[in-house]
Amino acid sequence: MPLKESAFLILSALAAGPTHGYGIMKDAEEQSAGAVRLRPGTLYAVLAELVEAGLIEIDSEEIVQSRLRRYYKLTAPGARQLADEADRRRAAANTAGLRLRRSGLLTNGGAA
Amino acid sequence: MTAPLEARLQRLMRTYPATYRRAHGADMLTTMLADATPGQRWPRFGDAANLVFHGLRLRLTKRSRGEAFDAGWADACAVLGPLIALVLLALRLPVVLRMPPEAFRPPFNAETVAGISMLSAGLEVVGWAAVAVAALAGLRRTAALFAWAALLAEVVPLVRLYDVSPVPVVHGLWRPALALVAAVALSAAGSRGAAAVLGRRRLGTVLVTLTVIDVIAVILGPGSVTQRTDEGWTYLKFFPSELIISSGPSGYWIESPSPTAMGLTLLGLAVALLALIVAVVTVPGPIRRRLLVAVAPVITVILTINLTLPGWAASNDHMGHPIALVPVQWAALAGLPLLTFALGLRWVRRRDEVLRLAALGATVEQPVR
Repeated sequence: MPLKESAFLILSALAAGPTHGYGIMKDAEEQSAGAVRLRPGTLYAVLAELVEAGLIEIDSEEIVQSRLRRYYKLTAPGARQLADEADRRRAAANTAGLRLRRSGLLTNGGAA
Repeated sequence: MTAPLEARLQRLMRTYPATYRRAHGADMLTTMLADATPGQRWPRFGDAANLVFHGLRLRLTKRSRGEAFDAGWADACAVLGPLIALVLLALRLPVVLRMPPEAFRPPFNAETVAGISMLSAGLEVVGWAAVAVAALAGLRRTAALFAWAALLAEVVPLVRLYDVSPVPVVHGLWRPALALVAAVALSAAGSRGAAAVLGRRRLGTVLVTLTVIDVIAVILGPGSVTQRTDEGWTYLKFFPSELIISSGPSGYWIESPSPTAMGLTLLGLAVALLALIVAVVTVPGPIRRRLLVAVAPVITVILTINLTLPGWAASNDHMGHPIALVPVQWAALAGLPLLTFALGLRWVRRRDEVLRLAALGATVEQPVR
């Protein structure tokens, strides 16, 4: 089943290594060039779903300036799911780019 | 002092279920405060709406309610089920073993008090033995099914006897209460079995001590339930209204022909019980706390009966006809154990959280030293 955009961005953020909620939030914003901003309610709802699905897990916890900070990491099934999703998106993007070029609708090319 | 933004975020997070806040609230707050701009006093409108939406959504789903049931509870339930089954079996077995053989020959007379008592005692022994064997063999679902059936065997005779003899029935309510805990625990137990959670040595100690208690009870209890005479005997009452030990004709399960024999009985019981208590209290803290919270409602039932109903029991003895409990007394018997359990759950959660944060603090400070 295809991943939601927010789940894909979170898995992608964690592919770089274990990080905490704020780190994931910022990474997702950078990955999407500012197009996607994960709000805290959404972020933690998706994190909970991914933990439940076994795609990510809690890596560690620390206390920084008297505040609890929890790090998440990608699991092996999560890495496989991310790779599959990346392939699927890449294939879909290639197809879209190819069709746009063939149809002449996109005269100046495109990423694909 | 809590900053205005933090206080406002905490208020918004109250839309989330308490169990969820306990598990994720501190981390969420850290993330939201890290995302705030310097001097920000109010949450962004979109963030606030997003929090409220997800909080309310979680409250309306079953998943949030299930979060209170953690791995510690799963392990505690795995221990509680067979442990209670063994205790209930051990308490009932001596009574059945001391019955005359003809008591087990059908047809059973289910119309008399003695007939009902014998029949139920026999069914309970079979039921709890089946529960214990199934649970220890790792057949959790089967054990749970047997436990609900055994609970029924505990409750039905009490319902039938209540109109005739309410005092012994009410004094015996701790048994169905304990049976209910066992049935619920076995229905909710995790994948780990009692042997894995307790360890084989502790489980062995429990089995040996309960066997010793039963052997003492059977050997030193030569009288039969039906042929018992009151004169010249010393009785150990189990849960009479006056509390543990006294002489009298009701509420006992061990009887002994002489004070010396009773002394030896008590000594053997004390040693066995001590070993049993040591085996249980030395389990890991999180499981021990949950075991305590799970049996606390049963203790509350016993205390409520013994502390609030002696007057009612005395009235029954003196009036010459059965006096039923009034609704407020039933409400206390049902409500106080539930309240005890709710407070116990709260205590376990807070204790776990404090210990977790303390452990984290220790981990953080270690590299500095």
